[in-house]
Amino acid sequence: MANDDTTPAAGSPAASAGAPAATPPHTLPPTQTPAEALATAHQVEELADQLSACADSVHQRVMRDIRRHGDGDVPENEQAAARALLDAEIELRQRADRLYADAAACIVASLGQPQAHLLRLTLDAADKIRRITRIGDGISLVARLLGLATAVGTGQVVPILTAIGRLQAQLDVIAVDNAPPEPPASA
Amino acid sequence: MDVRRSLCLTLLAASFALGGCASTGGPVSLVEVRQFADASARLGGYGELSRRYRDTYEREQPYLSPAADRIAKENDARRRAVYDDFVSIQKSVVLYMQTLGVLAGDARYDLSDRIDDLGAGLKANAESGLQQRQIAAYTGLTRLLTRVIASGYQSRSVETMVRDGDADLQVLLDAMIALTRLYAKTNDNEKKTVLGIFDVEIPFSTRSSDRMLVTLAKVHYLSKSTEYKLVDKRYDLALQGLTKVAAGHKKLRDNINNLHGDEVRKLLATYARELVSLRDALSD
Repeated sequence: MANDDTTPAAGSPAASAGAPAATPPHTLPPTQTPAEALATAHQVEELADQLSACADSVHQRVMRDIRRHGDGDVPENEQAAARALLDAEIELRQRADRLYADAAACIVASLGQPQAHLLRLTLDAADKIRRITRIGDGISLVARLLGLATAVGTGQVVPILTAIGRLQAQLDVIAVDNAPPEPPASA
Repeated sequence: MDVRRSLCLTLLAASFALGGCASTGGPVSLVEVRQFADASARLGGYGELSRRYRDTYEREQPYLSPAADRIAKENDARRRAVYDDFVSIQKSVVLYMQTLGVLAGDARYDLSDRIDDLGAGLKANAESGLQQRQIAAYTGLTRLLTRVIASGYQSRSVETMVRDGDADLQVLLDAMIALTRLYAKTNDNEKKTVLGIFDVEIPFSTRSSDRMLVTLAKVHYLSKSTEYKLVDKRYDLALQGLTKVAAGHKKLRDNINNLHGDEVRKLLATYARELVSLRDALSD
């Protein structure tokens, strides 16, 4: 992959403005481990850094030429040369950006498995959280039932109705806790 | 009555047996783990900078020559093609940290309130035939028992998650760090493209009829260079944050059998504090 990239990219600093932007289509290797992908991406990134550095030195060169004239007018032909160099500089930056984008694509292509694994762990943990919630809910349910038994023992309507209300409320809480989990999209 | 008494005795025996575990572990406090996980889940920067990276072309397009524009358009398509992947990495990490935070949280595992409630129910139940003293003992023991069981369950769950999750989490954080660095470098090229044109063209515009144009150009240059200065800082903050999340989780993993140790707790608290201040700096 690094070699595939080297060939077209190494030729491009010489290319002047207006050169055809033809590069062979990229084919990423199907499966790289994340570590391999990161290493490949790093090589591509270094190459791009060199292109960016080239662009920087083109710019410095242009600015040096302009400053030689101090506050005086820059002759037309030198202006034209400076603009051509500026165009070349900007094109180099785009070529560097392409490599940065390739490096990024290479990195993300390798992350399917770690992401899936982490997600499974997260779902397992969410399941444990639900289980402990149910234990707590169960304890409260027993308390509500006891409350109802006590109220029935008094034989008075108001306490019984109150106890039934509280029991119903607890059953509602349990229903909520047992509801299927929300899709994890809130992040 | 006899059944109840023997139940009490069984509970008592069980609590003595489990009491040993409880005293070595101490009262469960994973407060620092929760704080660290919460602060990690809320760290900003990466999402916003991913969007900025995706939208690079919109910002730089007016400054490009036709030749550069052709490449830029292709780059735009490439960046947009993987944007969803950038976001999904972050989502996995955030979801993991949120869940770890809940798992390490105190609220769900502290069942004391519910057991007090149960004790009150027992006390009020005239039919139970239990003595007040026995009810108190029963409630106390249940509380102890549930706490011990629940806290062991909690510690184990946190341990499992951290131990099994660390390797993958580090891979994803490494990727986010590498991507943020690529965003920053692309932004640097954008900055130099945008500002570079003014570097060159302003000195060329010396005629008196250019005066208004030069003034406008200088104002634009000033506002653009301020914008880039502010953005540059954000890349740096985001990178610092991601590095801290990775280091903090590594510490957590390394000390997984000693999460109640003073030193680990202090360290995690420091990481959490630093992450919160990075987040504040990012939301300015």
